[in-house]
Amino acid sequence: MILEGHELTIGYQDRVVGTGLDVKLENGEVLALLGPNGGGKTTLLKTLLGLLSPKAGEVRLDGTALSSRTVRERARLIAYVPQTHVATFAFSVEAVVLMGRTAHGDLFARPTSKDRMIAAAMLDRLGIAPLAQRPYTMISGGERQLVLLARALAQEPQFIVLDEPTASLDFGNQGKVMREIRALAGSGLGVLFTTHDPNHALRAADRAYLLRDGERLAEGPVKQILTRERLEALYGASVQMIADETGTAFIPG
Amino acid sequence: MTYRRLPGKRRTLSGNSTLWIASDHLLLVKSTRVAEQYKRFYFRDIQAFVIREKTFSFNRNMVDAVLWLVLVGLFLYLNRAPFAFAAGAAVLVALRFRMNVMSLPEEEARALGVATGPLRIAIVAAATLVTSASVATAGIIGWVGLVVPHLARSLVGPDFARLLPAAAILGGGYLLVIDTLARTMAQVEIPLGILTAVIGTPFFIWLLASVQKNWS
Repeated sequence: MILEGHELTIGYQDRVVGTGLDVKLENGEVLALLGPNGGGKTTLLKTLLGLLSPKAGEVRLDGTALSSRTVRERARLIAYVPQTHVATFAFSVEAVVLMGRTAHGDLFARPTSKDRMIAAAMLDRLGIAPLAQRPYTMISGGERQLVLLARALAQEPQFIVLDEPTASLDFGNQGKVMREIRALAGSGLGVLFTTHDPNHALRAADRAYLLRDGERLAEGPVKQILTRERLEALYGASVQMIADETGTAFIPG
Repeated sequence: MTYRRLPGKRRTLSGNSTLWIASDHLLLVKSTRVAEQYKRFYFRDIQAFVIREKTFSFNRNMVDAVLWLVLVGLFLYLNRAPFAFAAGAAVLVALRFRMNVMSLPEEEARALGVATGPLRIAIVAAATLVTSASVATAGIIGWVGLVVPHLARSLVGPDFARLLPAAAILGGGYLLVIDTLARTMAQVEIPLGILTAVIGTPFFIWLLASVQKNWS
């Protein structure tokens, strides 16, 4: 399947955030969305998810308009992993992951044994099965991010869209989430994520999409696109590059 | 004059009607408990007989169905509060897992496949029905809705599958206790609202204080 944004003008009721944006995401590929704060990353994500309708242009899924599908159909194709938040209510981790099965049942459905099996399998896949009965409010930020990822996986989607999946994580958990993102693409999902760290894009993504002030600066394979000059232009700040035989890394200068 | 009885009988609430045939007229006898009425239909006044086949049972069934509907309608009308309560509660219980998802931020709920707009309207409508039916039956009693759901949530957690029945049972039990106290504590019956306020106010102050701690 292909998820694409065609000539998108994105924004809110009274404010245009970006214009003329073309995005394309295929199954089995990871796309990283980079850009400074307020550049329109989250707005673009929400538009591609169908949570926000584009002010012009169209989001398409295999050539047909995303808006022609119901909320439920969309949720079975595209899953959303929001930035980690502290939930108001103390649902158990298992209950949160089971919410990922919502779109697979009808309006009055309750979780079936199949739903529970899938939820358990996803918790297991991310190595957080022991947390299943813990309240979601009583686990660490890194664990919460993994729970939200498990919930997205429980949706059994074709695409997963993650909003700054590494933002609130410690160093070790950042690595873990990056590895998971690669593994998701390996299992045939299309993954789109935003990040503030070009190194994460280098490590986990196939392609990078640079967004500044609502305009596409560049797009292409990460190795070609992520250069010191481009990043300096993207963030309007100096950037240092360190390279040796094992790879490349960027440091804000 | 000889009459011969025609088959069939029409039953009404006030009595039975039977038809008799004579040489030149039909006689309709309508007998109630206190009187009998006769109506004669002379053949010479009648231009033509049209005989239509009609299944008698069909009419009977129709009459029965209408009568039944009227009776059920009357019953529902006279006892409407419990039925309204049951209808609203049934909707809420059926939607319990969707309501769990609705407690997430709006965009997350939609990304999980819940059409939040229509569902919110349905939930508010059902909750309004339940509340108004309760108030119609019991009158306005303050400090119940503010106290009991929070108490129920702290007992069984936020999952509506358990929270809904817990809050309903706890609320009913709470009022039963309050009502008993109100009838027995003094020579005269103490108004319920006074008792619920005496218990509810400190609880609510405690709740505000603890929530503030959590949110800051």
